[in-house]
Amino acid sequence: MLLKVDLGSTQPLHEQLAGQLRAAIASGDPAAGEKLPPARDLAESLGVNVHTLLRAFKTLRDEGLLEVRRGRGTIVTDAASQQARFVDLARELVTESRRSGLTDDEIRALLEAQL
Amino acid sequence: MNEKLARIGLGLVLPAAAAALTYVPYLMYRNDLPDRFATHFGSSGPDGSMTPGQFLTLTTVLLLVGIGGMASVAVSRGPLHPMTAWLGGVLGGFFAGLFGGIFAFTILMQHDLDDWRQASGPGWLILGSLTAAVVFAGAAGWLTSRLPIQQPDIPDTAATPTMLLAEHEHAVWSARLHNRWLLVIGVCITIAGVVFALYIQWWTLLPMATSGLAVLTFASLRVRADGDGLHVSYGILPWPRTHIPVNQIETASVIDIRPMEWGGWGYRGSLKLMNQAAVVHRAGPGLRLDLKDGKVFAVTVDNPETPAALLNAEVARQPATSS
Repeated sequence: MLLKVDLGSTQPLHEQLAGQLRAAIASGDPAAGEKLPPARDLAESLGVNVHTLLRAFKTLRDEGLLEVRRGRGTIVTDAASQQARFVDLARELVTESRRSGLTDDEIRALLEAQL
Repeated sequence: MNEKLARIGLGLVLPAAAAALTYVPYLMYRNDLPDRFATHFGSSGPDGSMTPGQFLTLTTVLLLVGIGGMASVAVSRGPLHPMTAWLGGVLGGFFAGLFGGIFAFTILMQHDLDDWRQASGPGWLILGSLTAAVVFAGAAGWLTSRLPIQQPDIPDTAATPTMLLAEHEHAVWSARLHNRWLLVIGVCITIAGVVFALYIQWWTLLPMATSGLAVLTFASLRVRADGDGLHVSYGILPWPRTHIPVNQIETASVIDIRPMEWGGWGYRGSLKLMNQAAVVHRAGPGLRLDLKDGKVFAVTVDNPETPAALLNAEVARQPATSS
């Protein structure tokens, strides 16, 4: 699993990390069921605060991509790689739509119409 | 130390030292030996014995095997195969030290006994002979490393990828590797050690559990590459660990690891003693680090392109003064 973070970017670090983790899971590395390396090690390697990384973990847990088991570490859920792809697509849809001037209500309507 | 001296050390000095360790106590007490030596110990004390003649013959044969290993490395022509270096040099030294030590310590501890059944437990014997074995193996390994050893194939430059990292960009790559077979073998050896210890001899736990735990430790690896270099941790324990700082790395490359070229499976070689070390978990893709001081470290990982690219990028942005 490769994670990158740009300390010079204006995008908040935890968002960058969540995006990197999501992309990594969508690519299948780490695979479903795999345990992530200790957050402390990753944070140290990336030069970020461990709480920033844990915040990214929490975002992905809320999205159903990660499961935090007490004493067992953070594990990629079975549904994750599928899920990560959809979350990525949804983000892309929202970002692109906003960029082209659509309001959030219009984006909602757009999705609604497809359902 | 030059090559010739190393060959003399390995072929003459170490064998002579091993022979001295073995035979000097014997010669000192040769007129004063008991009829039999305790050579096997059960939970309630010694339960097996040999006459001095049998013990001497057996030890001499085993000692010759060890000495033969070292000598064959010492007289070899051309660069050594790493497997030969490991088996002949290091294990040869270990063998000679171990069996020489067992013989010597048995004589020192038992020469004044009236009856071999009075011999005290094997604790000091094991400790003493293992110490001798480790000392001889270390010396033999160090001498072997002074001899030319075949280098595994040097990868071509196409196998040294790099990645773009922005000025303030930090990256980490992390992977785990499990070898189920090693896991199973490790668990089996450990359980066997416990069972033997319970039913046969308590001290069999020591070598069995140690080797079982060693196998278990290498059954899973965690490898991490970042701006700080390469970190390898083994098993679930926090120790041992390997850390290669980025300022020691010359290049990182992708290689195909064939275990026999690196001396087998497990942690092979030694960066300090043999200028080359490899963590070989299986055959297949691996990451190779060529260090600035000419040493080589390799580890088997899946998709080594990513850590190689990351480390090369980190090497490239090291300040030039560090070299």
